This record gives sequence, C-alpha cells and structure tokens, in this order.
Amino acid sequence: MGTFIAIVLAAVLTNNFITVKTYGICPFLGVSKKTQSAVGMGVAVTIVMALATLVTYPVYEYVMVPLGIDFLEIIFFIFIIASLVQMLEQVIKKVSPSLYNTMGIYLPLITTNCAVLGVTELVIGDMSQFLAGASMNIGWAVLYALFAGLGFTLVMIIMSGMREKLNYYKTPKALAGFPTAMITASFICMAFMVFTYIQI
Amino acid sequence: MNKYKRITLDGLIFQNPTLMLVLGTCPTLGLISSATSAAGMGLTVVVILTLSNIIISALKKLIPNEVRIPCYIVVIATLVTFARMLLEKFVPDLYDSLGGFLALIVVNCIILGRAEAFANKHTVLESAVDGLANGLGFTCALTVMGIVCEFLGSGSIFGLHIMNFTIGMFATPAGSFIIYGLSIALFTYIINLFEQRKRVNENRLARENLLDKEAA
Amino acid sequence: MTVKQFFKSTAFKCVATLMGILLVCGVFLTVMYGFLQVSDEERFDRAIQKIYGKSVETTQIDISEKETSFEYSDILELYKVEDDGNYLVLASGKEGFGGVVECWVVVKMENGAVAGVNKISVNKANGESYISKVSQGALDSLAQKADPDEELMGGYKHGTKEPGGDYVQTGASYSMRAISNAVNGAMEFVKAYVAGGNNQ
Repeated sequence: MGTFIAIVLAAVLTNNFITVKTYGICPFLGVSKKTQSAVGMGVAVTIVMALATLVTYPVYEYVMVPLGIDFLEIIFFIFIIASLVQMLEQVIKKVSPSLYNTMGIYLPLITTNCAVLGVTELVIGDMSQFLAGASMNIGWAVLYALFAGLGFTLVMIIMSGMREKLNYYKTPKALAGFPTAMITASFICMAFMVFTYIQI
Repeated sequence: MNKYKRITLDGLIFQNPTLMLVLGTCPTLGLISSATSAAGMGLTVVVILTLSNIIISALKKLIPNEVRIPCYIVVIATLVTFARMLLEKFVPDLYDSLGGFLALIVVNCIILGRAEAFANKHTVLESAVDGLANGLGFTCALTVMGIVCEFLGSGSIFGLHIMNFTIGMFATPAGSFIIYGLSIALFTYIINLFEQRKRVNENRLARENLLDKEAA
Repeated sequence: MTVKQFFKSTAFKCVATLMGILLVCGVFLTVMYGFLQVSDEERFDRAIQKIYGKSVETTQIDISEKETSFEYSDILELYKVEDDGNYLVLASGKEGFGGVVECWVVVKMENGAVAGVNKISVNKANGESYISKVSQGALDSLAQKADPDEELMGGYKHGTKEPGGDYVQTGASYSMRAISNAVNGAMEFVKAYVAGGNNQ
C-alpha cells in the first residue's frame, strides 16, 4: 500500500512529467488551446503510455536482458510504440467511430511523443526512489506509467483552461502564441514546485 | 553557391528549429539550466542530424514510400544508440548530465522533421548542409539560453563560478520555460524588425525605379 | 498471385527494405557494442578517479550481513582503500528536496578509529531539482565539519535537522540536508563496523 501511494504521488505530483521532467512538451504546447482537445490528447497519451509499458517492460526484462541485447532498447521500444499506436488506431476505428473522431486524430502524433518513450525508458532504469523499499515489477511499472499519464493530463487541462481565458486578452505581437504559452506554463511549474516538499 | 547560402541561413536564423519553429522543446527545456549540458546536447544533435540527413538522402531511391517513416526511425534510432555508446565510453560526465534526454533524441521532432521535409527530396550534399545548419541553429539557441539560465540560476557560466547571488527558480523547469518563452519573443521581434526594414527598403527601391521610369 | 508476382509486389519490397535496414543496423550496433561496452569495473574506476584524482587499490567488503539501514540514510556499498587505510562508502541520504541523494563518502581512519570525513562526492541525485547548485566547496566544508564523535539524536546530528543552517547560501539547503544524512549514516556505519572488530 505504501508503495502504491508513493508511486501515485511521485508520478502525478512530485515528479510530474511536464512540470518537473519536461517530457512531452510538444503536445503540451501544441494541443492545449481548447480544453476538449487537451482532454482527448491527455487520455490518448495515458492509454498509450500504460499499454506501451505493459509491452516493453516484459520484453526488456524477460527477452532482451537474458539475450544480452539490452543495448538495442531504443530501436525495440520505438518500434513497439509505433506498431502499438497503429494497432490502437485500427481497433478504435472498427469498434467506435465516434471515439475515433474525437481521439483518433491525436494518435498518429503520439508515436513521436517524448512522454511515451520517456516512460518506457524510465521504468527500466533506477526507480528505487519511488518504490519505498519494494522491488520493481511489471505491476509497479504499469502503475507508474498510468499515473504519469494522468499527471500529464492534469497539467494539460490546467494549461488549456488558462489559455482559453488568455484568449480574451491582447498580447504584444512578439509575445503572442508560444511565448505567452510558455510563460503560463512557467507559472504552472512554479505551483507544482510546492509538491516537491512532499516526503515519501 | 547561392542555394547553399540560403539553406544555411534558413537553418540558422529564418527557420531556426528552436526559436522560429519551436521544435525539439523537451531537451531544450530540460537541459538549459546548465550551459555545458545544453551545448553538449546541441553538438550531439548536430552530429546525429547531419548523419541521418546524409544516410536518408542517400537511401531515398531505395526506400519505398509506404514504409519511409519506420525506415527513418530505424536509422535515427541506430545513430542515437551509437552516439549513446560513444558518449558513455568517452565522455561519461556529459552522458550523466544528459540523462534520459539522450535516448529521447530519437523522438526529437527536428531530426524526423528534417528527414521528412528536406532530406528525402534533396541531394546528399544539400541534405548534409541542411543538417549542419539546422543542428548549429539548435546548438546556438540552446547554448545562449543555457548561459543565461545558468548565470541566473547557479551564478556560473559553463560551470565556472562567477557570483554568489542566484535566483533558484532559474535552475528548475519554471525558469527554463520563462527564458525559452522570452527568447522566442525577442528573436521573433528582431526578425520581424529586420524583415520590415527589408520590405520598406524594397518598396523605396521600387518607388524610385517607378519614378525614374516616369521621368524617362 | 504467383510467386513471381509476390516478389515484385510493393508489400514485399516494403518488408524486404525494412528488414534489410533493421538487420544492417542491428549488426552494426552489435559489432560496435563489442568495442564500446562499459564494464562495471570501468564505471567504478571512474567514480574513484573522480574522488581521488588518481586510481587507487580498493577491495569491496561484503555488507549483506550487516545493518545497513539508518533512519535517514542507507548504506549501499563499502570499500576499503588499500593505499591509505580509509573506507569508501556509497551511501544514500533521504530528506532531500523531493528525492534521494546518493554519494561517495571517504571516511578517514586514524589509529583504527573513525577520525572524520576526507571527501564527499555526489554520485546520483534522482529527483533533486537543485542539486546542480551544490558546489564542491560546500561539500568540502561539510566534510571538514563532520564529527564522528557526536551521537545521532533522533536520526540527526546537531544542526542538520533544520534544512539550511550553514548551507543556506548554497541555495540547495534541502539537498545539503540529504547529503549530511548520507555522510552521518556512512560514519555511523563505519564506526559500528570497526567496533565489530573488523578493521585489520
């Protein structure tokens, strides 16, 4: 239980992917103009992160390490993620066309999202600081990926809400667009800095 | 010659991947709190981008259109893995300071973007120049922002201690976001000013030409 | 579709190209890995090099039987430096700024008793946002101040419980507290180890 809480708190708040690790900034800045699309992107990223970890972690641990080809991890992981995204797209298209219309457009963008490759690389590395003494296994890995995705979604939603309001204000020409978005993001980061005081 | 000059200027200034197109943001924001790691990241990207551009433009006849993206990703991932091995062996300090961002070069939009937008349509030499120019544009932007960020956040430049007064925020992503945002704003402002002046100049020349013609 | 047609079709061409590129890349990397592999000994030598500035003879001591866990620190590895008789401890300290700091501590020995700390070097700092602000000067002054005779009070030594204190000017007072905890743990551990009659 302690490990569960530690992982959830670390993934969502203290080591948030956007505000602390700065992974997955491209969709964070690109798809956060409207809350609806931010939620769609966030959910899509969360699902792909959890699924990708579910596949890559066992492949790395039980296939690549015993065979001694763990140095090829980047090629394997990016291939697994790319094919997973393709498959997910086809499945969603078949099962629920309405869901495909809202979420499907974000799926192709996810292959080249740092957050997905980042989480698969993180969970095979040193995770001891989050585990509160437990040893790493696939369950914790997927849990971490899932909640890291939810943390990503949380920040996306906060950002999109702020940007929707910012639309009503006039900004200087040079500051319009990305600069304003980044300064907004900086304030979110500062707010999230408070959570680093949580001691697990 | 003019063609290469245009490619270089585009990559370095007018289409600067970091400041004009805002690509490859993750490593930028993660690493500009230290100028050394920012410059190291930039130089690694220069090498990988140039090599990937060369290889992809050399193979463009061979690769069928349908599977071009997976092929590019394999080439880039190979180069990144190779670069990671080299850095771990010969420059372990830099390897440690880049951390997870080294593997994430694979999904850096700049590299895949240049492969898709430039290298698969142009000759090997043009692609090499383009890769070099874009990579250097990325490196320069990162290094300058890194110097500013490190000076404010840690009171040092390239690890060289200068002053004791520091603003802690600039050592964290919050400060990186602000520096990056303001750099984009300043760069866009300067480019706009430059282009406006160029346009005014062109208009003046055109008007004078017209007057000359009428006078004649 | 005849066999000939199959070999001329686009699908075959695609698969063949992709497989060909994958194979070439895989073989290339495997060959290169043979040349560039970094062994564990090399990694350890680098850590030593960083601390001492030269390579020294060390022997690893098995500590799996010992009590390695303190309230705010954990002892990970213990080495005896053959050149000067000091102990080299890899210890991790808790209570930092949201993470765990792992550092090498050289525990100075005089006449078979712990006499202080010679040198501290940060090995890893997961999740510590401000660790870059900890200068070597601050670490050296911490090493000088470390007092082996002082007892641990509630897990801390005098003056290290409050973050900041003497180290507030580094701008990373919480990280410094984690490092202090690691150093204190290392000293306590070596004291207990020596008291157990293990020092030859």
